[in-house]
Amino acid sequence: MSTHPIQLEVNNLTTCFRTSTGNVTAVDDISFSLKKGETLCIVGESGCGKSVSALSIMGLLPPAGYVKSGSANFQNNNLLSMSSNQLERLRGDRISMIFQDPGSSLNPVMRIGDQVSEIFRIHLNMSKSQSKEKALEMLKQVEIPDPESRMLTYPHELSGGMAQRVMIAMALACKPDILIADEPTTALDVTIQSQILNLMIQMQSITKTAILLITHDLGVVAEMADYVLVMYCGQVVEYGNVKTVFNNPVHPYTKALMKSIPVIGEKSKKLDAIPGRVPSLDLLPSGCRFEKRCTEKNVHITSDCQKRIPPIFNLNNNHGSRCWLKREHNEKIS
Amino acid sequence: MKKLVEIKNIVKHFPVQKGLFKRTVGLVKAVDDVSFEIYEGETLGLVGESGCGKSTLGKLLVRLINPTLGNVIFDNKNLDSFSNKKLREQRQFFQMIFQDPNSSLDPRSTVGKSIEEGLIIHGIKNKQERQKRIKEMLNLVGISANATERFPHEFSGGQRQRIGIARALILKPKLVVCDEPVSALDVSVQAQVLNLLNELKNELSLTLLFISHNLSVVENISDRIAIMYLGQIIELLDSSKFAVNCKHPYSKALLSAIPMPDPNTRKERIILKGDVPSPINPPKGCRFHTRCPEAMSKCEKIEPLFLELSHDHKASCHLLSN
Repeated sequence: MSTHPIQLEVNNLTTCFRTSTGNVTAVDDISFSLKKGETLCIVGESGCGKSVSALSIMGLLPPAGYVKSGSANFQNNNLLSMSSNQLERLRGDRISMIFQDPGSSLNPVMRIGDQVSEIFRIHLNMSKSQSKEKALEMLKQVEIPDPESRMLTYPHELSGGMAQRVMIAMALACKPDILIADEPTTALDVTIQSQILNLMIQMQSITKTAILLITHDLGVVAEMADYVLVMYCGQVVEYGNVKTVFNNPVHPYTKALMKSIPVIGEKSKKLDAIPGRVPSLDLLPSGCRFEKRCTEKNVHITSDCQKRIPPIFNLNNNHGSRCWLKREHNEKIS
Repeated sequence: MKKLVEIKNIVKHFPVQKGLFKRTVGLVKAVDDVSFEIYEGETLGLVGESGCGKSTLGKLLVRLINPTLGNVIFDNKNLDSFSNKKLREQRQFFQMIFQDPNSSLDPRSTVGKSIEEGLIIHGIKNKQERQKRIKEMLNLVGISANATERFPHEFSGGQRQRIGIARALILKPKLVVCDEPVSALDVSVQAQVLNLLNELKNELSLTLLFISHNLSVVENISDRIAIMYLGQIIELLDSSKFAVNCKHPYSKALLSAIPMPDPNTRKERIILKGDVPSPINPPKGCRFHTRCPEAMSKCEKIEPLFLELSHDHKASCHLLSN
């Protein structure tokens, strides 16, 4: 493993939502660490808690949500216990975020140039003219054609790909230590997606920013990640180095997910759909959350799968799986 | 093979209106001179980026909108010459499945009613007969028969899409246009719906036009693939040959832009510059020349023809015409 310094260490994060029918645990005891210059991908289907974990770290949970326990250590400070003022200073400066829909995350009544230069004025105390200059430089760096005239336009005049470039320019303006990207290319066409992913890789090599990338697309994970967390129903079910997880997936859910996606150039491949559907978060089974849909449960042990939630069993090489089938590797880590 | 649908030089322009008196100030050329055939029993995949006109083409096919110019010949009948009444009789033979199962089902009508509507309109008078057919159809798409009394919101996205499929198939259509049927679904459910569509196609001997922006999905389900760019089909070929033998620079770029779920081979991608131009003012000459990595001076002036390269492989590019 690399020896890059750890930028963010999340330990046992649990996030709940208050609903009319009681509290629901959206993120259940997840832990990971993010290293300088590396990309960590969280992958999972909708509702698995991948976005909520990012919002928890950023202190951006909606009013119904709250962090029940856990810590997120950034430069020896726990982000989860910071005041909103302290967080405000970090966000956009040391930690920044880009969202799925660039159109709705930009301010619609503010010119692009003003939005980008605002960051330099707020976080770096620059003067108006200085910040304008820096903003222009940023727009050039993210390869926006004709940046001078783009500075004067409003977000609705930009295409989705251009708006996402502006978002990236804003997010990386202060050379943050951490960039959290929540489905940054899901709303974009594939040719634009490849432009944006390429841009993220380029920018990362310059700024050495650690990227936490949230996506549902295994293709994007394979292209971008150094390290992967697979989430299911609020829990991490498998984690490891990207090559380890893709070449040698261990958890039945990870394996099933990989068999269920069509791959270009492999037309003959029959899609193995995962039977059933994701259980609702307020009606979770008492045992393994994937048990009902699992095709491997009958092979070895069964009663444990139904009764007890498996812990994460650490295999080798920083590779872990939350599955009773891996009980022989009894190094429990969580 | 028999042609089920023949589309001849079809054009659809939408006026852009402005001001108090809705003056027409421009035309969105959503579909611009497209011709192709769909053979009986095949699945034709239609791929393109957003705004390329693929959904408009699907709607033209099932006559949800009328073409500006050109003909749709369905089962040897020219639909343009049909009166509304006669057209309605024909509609049972071509049905559509929509992208968003949340908004394409009536939230205030039970699943049974939604599916039954088509049967009533097309003259199945006997109630028992209708109920029997609905139950059979629900069984076929993997939904329990007691679903008829329940409302769409009680179902998950994947189940709702199954109900949408049941509604489209209840009239035993010959052609089904599927407009992004799995795009709103999660990957694990997406595979279920794709497999279901394939099974139903074989069982009920359907012909499918499968519209999607996702090339991997289309390649998996289709027999032939048509690639669309700015209102035109630019390449059409056998889907098993697509990954190795697509010739048009845009097809190649699309293929290379897809992230592969394999971290061992991070490939060099062809990165297209810029965005898709506006369909109000498409570029002169070849429409792709503004983004094409292999553009020549000829491409800016002369529009390439949609030529046959080999059997069942057509493309429109100057590089290929010599």
